Amino acid sequence: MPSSMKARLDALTAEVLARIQAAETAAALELIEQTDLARKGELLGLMRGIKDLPPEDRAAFGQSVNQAKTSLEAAVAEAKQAFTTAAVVAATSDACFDPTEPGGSLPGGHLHPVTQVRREIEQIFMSLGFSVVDGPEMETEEFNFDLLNIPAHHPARDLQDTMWLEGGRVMRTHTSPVQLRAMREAGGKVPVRVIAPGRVFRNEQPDATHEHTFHQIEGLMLDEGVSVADLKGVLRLVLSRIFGGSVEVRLRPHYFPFVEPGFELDMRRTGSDGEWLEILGCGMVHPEVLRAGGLDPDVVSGFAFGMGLDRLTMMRFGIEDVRWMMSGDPRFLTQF
Amino acid sequence: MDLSLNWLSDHVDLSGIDPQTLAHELTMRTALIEGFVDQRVGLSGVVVGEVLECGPHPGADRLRVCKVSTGDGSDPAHVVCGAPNVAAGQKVVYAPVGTRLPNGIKLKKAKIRGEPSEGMICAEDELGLGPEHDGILVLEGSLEPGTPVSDLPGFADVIFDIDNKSITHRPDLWGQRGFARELAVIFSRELKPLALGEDLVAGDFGPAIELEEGCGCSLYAGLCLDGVSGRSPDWLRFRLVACGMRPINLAVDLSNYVMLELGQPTHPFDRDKLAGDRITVRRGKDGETLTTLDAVERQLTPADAVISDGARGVAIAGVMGSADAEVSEETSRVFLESASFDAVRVRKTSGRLGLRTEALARFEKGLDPGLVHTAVRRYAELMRQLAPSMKIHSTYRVVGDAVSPKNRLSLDTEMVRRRLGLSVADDEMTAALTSLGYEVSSNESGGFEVEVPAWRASSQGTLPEDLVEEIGRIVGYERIDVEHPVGPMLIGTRAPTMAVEENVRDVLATRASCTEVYSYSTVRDKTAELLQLELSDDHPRLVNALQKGASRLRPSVVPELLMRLETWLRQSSEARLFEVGRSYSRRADGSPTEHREIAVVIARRDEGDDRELVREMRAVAEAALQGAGRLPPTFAVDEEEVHASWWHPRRVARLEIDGRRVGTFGAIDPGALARLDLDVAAAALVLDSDALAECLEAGSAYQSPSRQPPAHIDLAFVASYDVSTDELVSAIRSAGPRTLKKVEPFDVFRGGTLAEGERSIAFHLTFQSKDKTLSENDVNRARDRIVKGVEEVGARLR
Repeated sequence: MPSSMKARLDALTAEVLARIQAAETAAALELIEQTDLARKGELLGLMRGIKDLPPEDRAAFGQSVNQAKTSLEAAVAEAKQAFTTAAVVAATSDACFDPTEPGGSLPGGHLHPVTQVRREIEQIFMSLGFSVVDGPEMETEEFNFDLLNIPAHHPARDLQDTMWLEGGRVMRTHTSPVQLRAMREAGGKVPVRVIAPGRVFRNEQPDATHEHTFHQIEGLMLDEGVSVADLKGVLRLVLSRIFGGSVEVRLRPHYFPFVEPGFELDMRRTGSDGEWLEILGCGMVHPEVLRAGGLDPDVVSGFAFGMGLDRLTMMRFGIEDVRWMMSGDPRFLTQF
Repeated sequence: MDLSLNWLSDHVDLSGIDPQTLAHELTMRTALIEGFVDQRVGLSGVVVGEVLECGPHPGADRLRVCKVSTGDGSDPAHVVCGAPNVAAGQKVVYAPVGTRLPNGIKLKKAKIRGEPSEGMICAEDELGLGPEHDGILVLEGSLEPGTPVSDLPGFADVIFDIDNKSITHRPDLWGQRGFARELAVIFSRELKPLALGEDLVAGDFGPAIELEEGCGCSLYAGLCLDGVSGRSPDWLRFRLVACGMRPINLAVDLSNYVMLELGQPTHPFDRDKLAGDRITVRRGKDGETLTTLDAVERQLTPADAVISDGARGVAIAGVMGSADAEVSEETSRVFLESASFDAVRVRKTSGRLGLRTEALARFEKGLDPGLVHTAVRRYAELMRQLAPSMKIHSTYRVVGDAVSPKNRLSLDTEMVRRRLGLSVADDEMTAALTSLGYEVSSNESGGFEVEVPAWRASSQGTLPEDLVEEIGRIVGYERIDVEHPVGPMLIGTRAPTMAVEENVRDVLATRASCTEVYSYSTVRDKTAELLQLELSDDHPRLVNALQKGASRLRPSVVPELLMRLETWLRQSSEARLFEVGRSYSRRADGSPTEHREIAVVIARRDEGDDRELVREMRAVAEAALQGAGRLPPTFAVDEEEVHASWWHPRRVARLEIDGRRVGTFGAIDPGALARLDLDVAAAALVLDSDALAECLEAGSAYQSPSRQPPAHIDLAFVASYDVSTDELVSAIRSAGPRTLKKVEPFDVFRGGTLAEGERSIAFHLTFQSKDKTLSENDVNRARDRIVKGVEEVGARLR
């Protein structure tokens, strides 16, 4: 065997071995496997010189190269051990660790609970094809009352204590004017499916269950042939989602000037024989209101509803006093 | 309004129906019953007692010692009683020891001025039945001692509380009889006829009546009754009390009784206090005054309707009578008024005077004129029964031509089924409507012709939709199955401005660590004063603000947010608040207008320089705009703009996107903070969400990432405040090569060896080529060009 070839093999083997021992990461070892020990690497490249050797030396040289390769592969495998989980365990066997040590805190902000509940309800309605719209808080008397079938000097005006503005406008007493705006926006076409969340105002002294500034979600669904059965169906579906699980609903007659017939809707868990909970006001949109919105009541029908967001929020979180909502109090807001 | 079970039972047999069921059925079919009080419960244990003996108390002149038998053969109870009217032989209401009275008192054995006393002889107020306290209640008729008082007919009652809002549209339900009519339908029982006695004799004997043109009275009836003095019987007084009215005397009580029963107010005048023989309904006169029964002098106007006796006004029509012609204990002759007044007129008068009465609450609903006559007959009949010596002293005089409106309409029964979503048969509809008093016949098109009963007819007419409600509630809404509407698929979206606000809320509450606050839409005068807000005289303002000093609408969300700081800074050295809401102002043409605002305030103690907070606020602004939809803003100091008073006069800037203003940010005026008594630095940001939504529509372009490695260097430049950071960024960009991809200012340093008015700004620079790895040489060349370029705008490498 020519000693030059043998010497080259030995030198190369030593060089790769040194690199293996110096490797500091598993990735470096991978690289050695993929380059030095690869089929096209320098080491196995020595095999290509075998044809220049005398035939009697060829077998022995081939064996030497294979031995070198095997031993280097073993060295890589052994070196890799240092990077296994077991090695980490061995190295930290005496380390102290307490996951309950204080970790400081990442500063966080808070969304108002009414925002959170409103969003949840909006998502449910959007998934049913209702769009979210809004209207002005300073309303004209016409939109807040007259066009909603609440004429001036009619006792229906007393159903809501009104905050009047100089110049004759009002702070809207309900989100219902948005019904008219949505109908007019749709240009006399149906279907219309919208909800309108927003701030509303009543001239009432606040107490634990009343605020003069609070939040409603108005809803409107118009099409040809929409019925009371549809109203029950949609609202039951939505309430089941809001309260989780299945609920049943019932309608009681109630007077809202802009619907006929008008209802209050009560709900309770399906199968429960507990108390009914009054949850929202609703009804079939009054023909005068449809006309004011540019629709023909002989062709189009639909339902409208309004729910109190503050009350739903109080129920969701068990809040005992509605006055917390507008308090801006850190002890309240930072809990959400 | 209150309902009395005893009273209802006069009109419809309700035997076998417990109060719970009655309340439930009315709530489900007619109107909301908010609750009921069963007086019988409060009277358990209380029995009829007979006063066997009544003698003086040895230790007190005003007290008596009585022996009361309850008829069970046991020894009579020894009871000390302070009432002046107690006497032997009386049947009284006796509460034995151990009874708990409706007012919560539990009776125990006691000694009163040395005399033992077992139980109590009760006055009506102690039983919760009436207002009397001065004397005990003496029972009439032959009653067995020992009978439980709750079993006495017509004595204890069940009182139901009606939600008035749910009957605003139902004038027929403002009386017991209206509810009796509903109950007769609901429980399939007969409505008893109303006892009206004989027809009144019409004619022109008695005070003449005159209706002036435009007086707002379309029908006026009058009747004189003689011999009406006296006190009302207990059962009647108890009913009035149960329904919330104070008993006075028989003539007045009966008027109230008829109103509570039928819904039609009447008014008794003392006939002898009326000046002449003529009653005129006329408009009020300018400067005219009238002292009403509540002893308040009222100013009248020509818009009011007044009842006059020729010499003066004696009543404000439909609202309240005058003290001058009031029926008193001495009154023996009354002139009874029953009339149909214009609902709008009386409502306006009541509103202007701030005077609401039970009568007004009924007149304003628009009553059936037919009731005018029924009420007079009912009053006369009841008076005949209760004051047998009463004589009718006039003919029944009526002026005016109003009659019950007749409403007729056609009803498409198919529409009713479609609208309810319930296959209710025609027969069933007929039955429901007929039971409620509607007259139904078939028409040629297969539907109904319906005539509306007088008590349901209204001046506005009746709509088919009204009949949908009548049919629905009587057949029962519970019969309607839940259905899901069929229609085209729609995609629900948020209005663009609302979507922007939601996205920004998320950024502010998470990345910016701010807490969302809701504040009132008004700004307090105190706030305006402290922050020296300049609000124009015509700034939108509430006419009838609840709180004095909070009538003006907020000109921005910021001021009240600043007022919150004190509370928040009490808990922590830093406050980070935001609110999404509306601000209000007036347009040049004077019309009020509102804007959608997102306002952020950050305040910190121990922050030497508010410019640090402004820099932080700039980061918040950039994050917010990024959250709103990857909008790249530019920032510019407003040189000439006049700003709201809370901003720092020198440290406020505008935020622009493509040259359009979308917001303002800067430091809060240290003077304002001092006036708020806050030792902090503070900065604010205000974004205009409508403007943001409009800018958003432009969208932003995607760039394919380079696969070549980037090269980074940091450079710091010293510049005076004459050169803004944005100008330095521009200078770096224009001097740099095309491979300069990012210029990010990241640190500002003031002080040290730097001169006053100078600061050092450090920039991260990122170079990257599309097609080659940049060499060290490439980067150095670029660096030299940049340094030279920046020196040209007046800054120097640090």
